[in-house]
Amino acid sequence: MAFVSRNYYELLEVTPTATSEEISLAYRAVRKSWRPDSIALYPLYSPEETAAIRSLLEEAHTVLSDPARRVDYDRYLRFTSRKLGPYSTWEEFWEAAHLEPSEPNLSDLPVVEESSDGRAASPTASEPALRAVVEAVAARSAPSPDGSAARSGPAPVPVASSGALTAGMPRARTPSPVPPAVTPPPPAHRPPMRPASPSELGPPVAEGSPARDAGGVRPQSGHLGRGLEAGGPTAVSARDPASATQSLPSMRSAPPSPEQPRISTDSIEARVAQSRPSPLRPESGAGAAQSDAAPAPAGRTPAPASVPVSPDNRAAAARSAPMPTTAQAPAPPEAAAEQRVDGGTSTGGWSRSYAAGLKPTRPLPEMPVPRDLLEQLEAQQGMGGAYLKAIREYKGISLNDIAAHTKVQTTYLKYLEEERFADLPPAVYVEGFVNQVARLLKLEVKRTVSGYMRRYYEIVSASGNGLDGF
Amino acid sequence: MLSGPAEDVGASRDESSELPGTIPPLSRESRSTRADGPIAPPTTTSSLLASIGVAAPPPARIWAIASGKGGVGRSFFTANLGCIVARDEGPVTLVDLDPHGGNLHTLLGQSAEPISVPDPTSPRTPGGGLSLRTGDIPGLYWLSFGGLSPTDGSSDPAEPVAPMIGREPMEALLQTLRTGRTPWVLLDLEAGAAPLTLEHFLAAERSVLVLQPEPAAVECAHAFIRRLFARELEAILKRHRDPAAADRGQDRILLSCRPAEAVARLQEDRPAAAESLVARLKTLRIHLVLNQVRHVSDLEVGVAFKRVVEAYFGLAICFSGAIWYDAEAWLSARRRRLRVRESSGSSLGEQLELCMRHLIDGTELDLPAVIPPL
Repeated sequence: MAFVSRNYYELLEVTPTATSEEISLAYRAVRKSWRPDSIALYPLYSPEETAAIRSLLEEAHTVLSDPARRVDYDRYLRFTSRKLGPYSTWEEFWEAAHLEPSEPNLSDLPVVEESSDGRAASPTASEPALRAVVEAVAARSAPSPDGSAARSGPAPVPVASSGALTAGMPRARTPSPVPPAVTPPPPAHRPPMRPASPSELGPPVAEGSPARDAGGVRPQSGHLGRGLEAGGPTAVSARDPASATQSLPSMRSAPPSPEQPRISTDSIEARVAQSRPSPLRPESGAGAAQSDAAPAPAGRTPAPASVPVSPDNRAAAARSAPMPTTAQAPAPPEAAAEQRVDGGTSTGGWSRSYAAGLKPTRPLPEMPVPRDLLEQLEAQQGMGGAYLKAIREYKGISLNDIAAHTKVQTTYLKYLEEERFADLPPAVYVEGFVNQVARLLKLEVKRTVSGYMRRYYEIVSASGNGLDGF
Repeated sequence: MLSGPAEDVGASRDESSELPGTIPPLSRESRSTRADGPIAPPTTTSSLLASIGVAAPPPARIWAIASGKGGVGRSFFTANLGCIVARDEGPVTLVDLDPHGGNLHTLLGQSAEPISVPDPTSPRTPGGGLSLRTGDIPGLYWLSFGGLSPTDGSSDPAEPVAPMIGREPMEALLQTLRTGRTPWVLLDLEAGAAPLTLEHFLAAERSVLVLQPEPAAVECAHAFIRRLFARELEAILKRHRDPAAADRGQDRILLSCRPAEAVARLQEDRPAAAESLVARLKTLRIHLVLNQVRHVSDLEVGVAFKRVVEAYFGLAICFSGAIWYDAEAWLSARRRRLRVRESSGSSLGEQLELCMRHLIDGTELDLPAVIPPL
């Protein structure tokens, strides 16, 4: 509505012609209103939500205070007729921040005067509709059978001991209140799919910042696999319909609800064409990503710990590094022959000089992809190269950026997207590439990789070119 | 037979010849000023004035002052602001609409006397039939709700007056005030967000919310605005109600979730309702007055309140005034005198003047100008 749909200038309350000093002053002034200890704030917004809003303001300031990025952003504003900011609705914003809107405050419902059709004058608990809602809320608060408590009182019990968060964890994801006429409550149809919070996946959890993680993505945790192995969506939902919507795999793999119209390819292309800008220049500025995990942007407040490399992550990183000494990656025809370094180095086995030359210059844009777009893309095209390309372009990341962060050559990245499997290294390398790209694009790594490789094997076996022994 | 205002029969005789004994028709000038059809007797002051060619005075400018909770200084602000308005702008009527112990009369140093409200069914007279009370402040009139009785004042003054008054007498009262007894009217509403209070709050030309920069007052102010929003949303939902039963539950959910999200959900389900709600919210404007400001950081509370409410509710807030804490205001209260009339060098008058300017012009406070020099 009003606030989150504002563009960066409106968020900072400056004109588009403001100078950098004015923008900095305006940012400091606006940020003062959103201080965590502001007494004007606490009745309406939780600390996590305040942090999410502050990081949104910080992103606005970051983009507008950098002249190059500001030029890009201005061009984007001129290009898109909507002149809106990164988010259209609060729902989108909270989803991107992995937050759930605060519990509906039923006690604060206004006194309803007697209406013409003779409804009860006051919304007391005796009203059936309200009672059903209260029951739905209570059902949501009940711990699910698999032991993970969805919510424990107004302040969720922090499970992660990483100490990354100072103000408690983001609230558990729960479905929106169901229509009271239906009991037991079916999986909520709106908002459609909400991934469970890390607390439900059990300790230990790799906690990232509560705010501003890309949409549609959980933090990287080893329990992704556990969640997937625990059973498909039907198993989970059959076990406990009330908590069915809390488990992530059911969310991710359930088909889109019938209320959502299927977006045609044309609209997807159009949306991708109107995707948000790439507000970063590849070779300007400073900053470095330290690990092959998703890099944390500099200057984010509150400063979270970067995603710790859990054992699973490390395994994935090791897997992406080609281990065998005998297997030699075929040199791409266009690229010059480069010396390969064997062994599990962090550069993924590529040339040290090449990898050293490409330094990730600035953090990638944190703009999330709407979940419905992800699902539509996946449903229509499968998780192939076009899927990765669409996501990449929507987020405004260029191939050079990915190459700088993952140390995978742009040529291979291009082939990855074009699905030119004949020119790509063997499957184990391809899997590693997709793993790194998916991690960078803040997608679900295991699922994306498995989807891509499934497609890889289908195409390769269908082509019968004898790649990798097929 | 023409029953209009008395016309001079001898004046402006028609040029055509007339038979003797007949009443000459009205002159052409008077005929052109006549309304279509037979002239009805004037029923309101404005029509009476219009029939004799005098422009009716513009309707009174009504400012409603409310707050989320009591004790934030609403009556203090209203009384002292009224004094400034009477001094600078014109005659002003203060109306104490707090049925549960309003103290406007106490601040003015007057006693509470029951005032009779004109019966709305009786034909109104141009005078309005309402006697406003005056004190020793020229141009300042006031009316205490606590003394209003629905009858013609025949009740025993010793008996406690019924606190609530019906809607119709209240409407009649406000209509009388609106038709211009005095060009300015300040309504001192009761604390909280009762339906009638919200109605008067929104119907006024300027809706002023008084706030103290402390957590309890801020919380209650948020609750006030939340009820205001819920009221508007309910009205819209009622107007756009679908006959389907599922809407009742959806309405509950819309009322209980975050306002901005309610609008987003409404935009998906019922775009017409969302459009009218957004249009309605755009017309609402709440003027914020911060009372008992003790520190510069308290002014930030007002600014933060404005930003947060705009983000959460989508309502426009205009930060119109800031009144600094006066350590000697209690002396005037003890003496039952208005603070602005004290000549002890308090700058309350200047602050209220600035606030009045902003309220009249509808402009925002200029923060550096509000901070008093050290």
